[in-house]
Amino acid sequence: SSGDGDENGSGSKGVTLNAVSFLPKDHPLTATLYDWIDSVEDATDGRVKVNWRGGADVIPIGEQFEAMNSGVMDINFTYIGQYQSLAPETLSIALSQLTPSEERENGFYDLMVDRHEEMNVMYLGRWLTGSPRLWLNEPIDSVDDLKNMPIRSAPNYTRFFEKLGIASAMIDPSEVYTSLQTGVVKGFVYGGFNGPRKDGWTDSSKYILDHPFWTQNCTILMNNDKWDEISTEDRDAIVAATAEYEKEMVEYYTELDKEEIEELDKNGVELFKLPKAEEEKFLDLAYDTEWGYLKKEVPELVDELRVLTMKEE
Amino acid sequence: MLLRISNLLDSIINFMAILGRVVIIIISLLIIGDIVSLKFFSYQFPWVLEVSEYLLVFLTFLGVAWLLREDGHIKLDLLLNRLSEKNRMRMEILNSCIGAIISLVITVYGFLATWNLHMRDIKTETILEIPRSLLIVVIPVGFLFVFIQFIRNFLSAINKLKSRREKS
Amino acid sequence: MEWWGVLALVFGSIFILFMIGLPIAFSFLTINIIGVIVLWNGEAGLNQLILNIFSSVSKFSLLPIPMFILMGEIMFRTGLGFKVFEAVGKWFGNLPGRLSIVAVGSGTLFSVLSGSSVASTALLGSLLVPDMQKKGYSPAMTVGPILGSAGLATMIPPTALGILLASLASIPVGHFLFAIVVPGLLLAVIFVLYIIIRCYLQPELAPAYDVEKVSLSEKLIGTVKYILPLGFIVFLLLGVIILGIATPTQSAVLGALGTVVLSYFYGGLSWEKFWDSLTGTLRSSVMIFMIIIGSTTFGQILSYTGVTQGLVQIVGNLEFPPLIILVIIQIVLLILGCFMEPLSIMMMTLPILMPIAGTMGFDPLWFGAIMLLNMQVATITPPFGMDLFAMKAVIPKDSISMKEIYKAVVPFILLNLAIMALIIIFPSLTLWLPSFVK
Ligand code: NA
Ligand code: NA
Repeated sequence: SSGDGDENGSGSKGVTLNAVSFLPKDHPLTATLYDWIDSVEDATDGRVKVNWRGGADVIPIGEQFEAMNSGVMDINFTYIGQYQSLAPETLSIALSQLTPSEERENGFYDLMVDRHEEMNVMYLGRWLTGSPRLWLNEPIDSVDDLKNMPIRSAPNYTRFFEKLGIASAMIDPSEVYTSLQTGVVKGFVYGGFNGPRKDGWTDSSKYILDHPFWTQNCTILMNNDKWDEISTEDRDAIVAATAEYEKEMVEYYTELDKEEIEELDKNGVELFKLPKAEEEKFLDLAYDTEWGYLKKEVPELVDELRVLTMKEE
Repeated sequence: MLLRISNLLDSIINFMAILGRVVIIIISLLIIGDIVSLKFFSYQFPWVLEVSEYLLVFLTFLGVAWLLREDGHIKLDLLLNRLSEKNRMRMEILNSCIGAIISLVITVYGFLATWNLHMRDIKTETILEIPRSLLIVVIPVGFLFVFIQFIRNFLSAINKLKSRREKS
Repeated sequence: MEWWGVLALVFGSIFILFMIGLPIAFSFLTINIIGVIVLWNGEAGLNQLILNIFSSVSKFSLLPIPMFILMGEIMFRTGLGFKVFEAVGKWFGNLPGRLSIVAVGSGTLFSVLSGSSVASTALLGSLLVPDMQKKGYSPAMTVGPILGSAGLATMIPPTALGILLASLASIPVGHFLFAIVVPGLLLAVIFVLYIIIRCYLQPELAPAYDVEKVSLSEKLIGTVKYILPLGFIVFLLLGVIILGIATPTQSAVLGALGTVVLSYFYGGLSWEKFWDSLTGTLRSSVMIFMIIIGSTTFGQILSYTGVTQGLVQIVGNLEFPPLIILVIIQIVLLILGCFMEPLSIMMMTLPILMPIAGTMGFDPLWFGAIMLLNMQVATITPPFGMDLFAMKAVIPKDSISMKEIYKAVVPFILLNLAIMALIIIFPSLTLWLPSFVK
């Protein structure tokens, strides 16, 4: 029953694109990807179809970017952490303070398209919203309280956490629950709100430090050769459809976060803030560390990136 | 001459298996060091997790050819046990042929994949950012010797079949 | 070709490769190579296969496997394990199938230490089978009970598979670990009952031998000398987890270290025996990891084709009452379990099964516990079962054929299914314990 979809009617050349995602197809956070697929198919009158083959059950997460890049897959719903060493400037996607629409208006999106093209990848747009926060077993009063605290972390947080004095612990996802329960770590860092409660992590970590830093950096990428095979008309339609999708996607996830915050509240999970001065210290450190890193990695681009991702005051 | 080559191959395969055992010790020491460090000095070596993951792969591919020589890979003996010695040797020839072909494919494409990663300077998206070619290369190296071992199994099965024929 | 045609062709080919005696791992790789050439654009697909092979064993969660095997090897080679086993045995009188019952007892004891049934099988198999064979026990009463009780490692926390299932299915892990305890204990009980009854009816399966009368003081001395020091290892495996010193995976390494230290002080450990233990560990680990490589990549390709989704969707579309659907799901899983290892099955089916379970109104803890039991059964159902192969790998060479192992395990598969039926009929068996922690 499978096939390339070339049998698509009335002489028009159709194409079916194979997609793979880093989250499973039934994950609550991937819900809007079905909308994106529909809108792409609608916008191209069915000439471009997307066959979402699955997640890590099809290609291991760490190999998905390579699979899309080599043409085994065509589309990858991924995040910049999967390819950042190839193009450090994509880190600015995580540092952006703008909405996806604003990024398209001010030229940041186009710049990112250019940068992705260097890797022979088409950057179609973003999916998922929300920022990382620290989820802790005990509340803290100041940034210094984080010193020497063991926190479950991931590679992209190490620079910032080192500055905070946090003892970053790399722990396999399957062991986070026990590690939190037993106190091997005293908290974790997580992007957005959805997930930790369902995974039971909030059994131990009931205090969310509500100083969101950086932003969700999930991207929709496509193999550039495959992209070039699509007609100009359909390519434009897909870009326009994705821009539309981004708006609805932002609304959807904002709403989802609201519902989850209520749910968290019911479960006795509390959002808390530090005094103003401490908050500033925390956030400045979060951004300065990463911009400092970018200055070292891509000195020729860093100023432009900074201008394009800053909120105009 | 042939004997010397065969001995050399055995030495290499044995040496790889010795490395495989050493890897088990290294992983253990890394993890123990990591536990002690995080508990007593509030510092985790953030690279221990990924390095032990890589070492698990190394352990596997350092030992895979050795295990094949020792006939330690699990196989079904349902049918084989019912066959005559002669037919069993024929099956042995057939399956070492298939084994040799697929291990050759993995060796060749393994080296190509390694080369490809090396040329594009791809690194792991982790703390260490190690060139991925240095990790992947263990697969074709391991399978090169799997290929050689399948060929040796193939030749020895043919010899056994021949010597049986000469006897009868 | 329709998806069921693909399925028949793929499993048909695998079966033929198994039959001609190509090792399991290489049989899978053969099919995988053909699969990626056809489905993933030829050379690019082969490149991808190499990368996926690396990823499939580059997993921290696999670390306990070599560590638990190393524990077993050292206990076995230094004679420490045998002394423990003897000390446990002193407490059992002249029961029918005495050693088999001691095996189940040791298996239950060890399930509190081990998170993986493969590791338990490797340990108990290498430790107990030679001695049981010496006493004239049949395969049905040696490998059978050991394979059955090794499965308790999965059903009683710590459990690697259980944690994986809970996290893949988004079930709260803490509650889930409580949900599976009662089913696990029920299994131990039913195994002992079965052994006693069967050995009473067929004494020739487990020849009675003269058990020396052991005085109470002797029992106590044996226990103090050989079982209590195990507390040291229990502490390294469980205590350090509870005290927040290490994660479950890390503790496996501490457990192995503890075994080395303990056997050193009990005088059995020489450099030579340590090296032999490493050899045995490498042997079993490579064998298991190669099968994981073959079957994981196989599962990925199968998942890509949509074959499994097709199979499961048919179930989802049936218009039967939920209970019938549940039973059908379990049967499909059992069939998949005959050929594949649990992780691949879970990764392929859970994304579809959990939504089905949701629409049917199944309690996720209940459904998860049933599913975990099913996945444990998959490791012992012929022809392809990881525990079966691990057993074959550790018992004395050529002493018991694969076919005899298959035959021996069947009653224990049926007992597992009986408990599964019991859980399905009485959901409170799984839901009662978690209700205290909620
Ligand atoms: Na266990
Ligand atoms: Na099975």
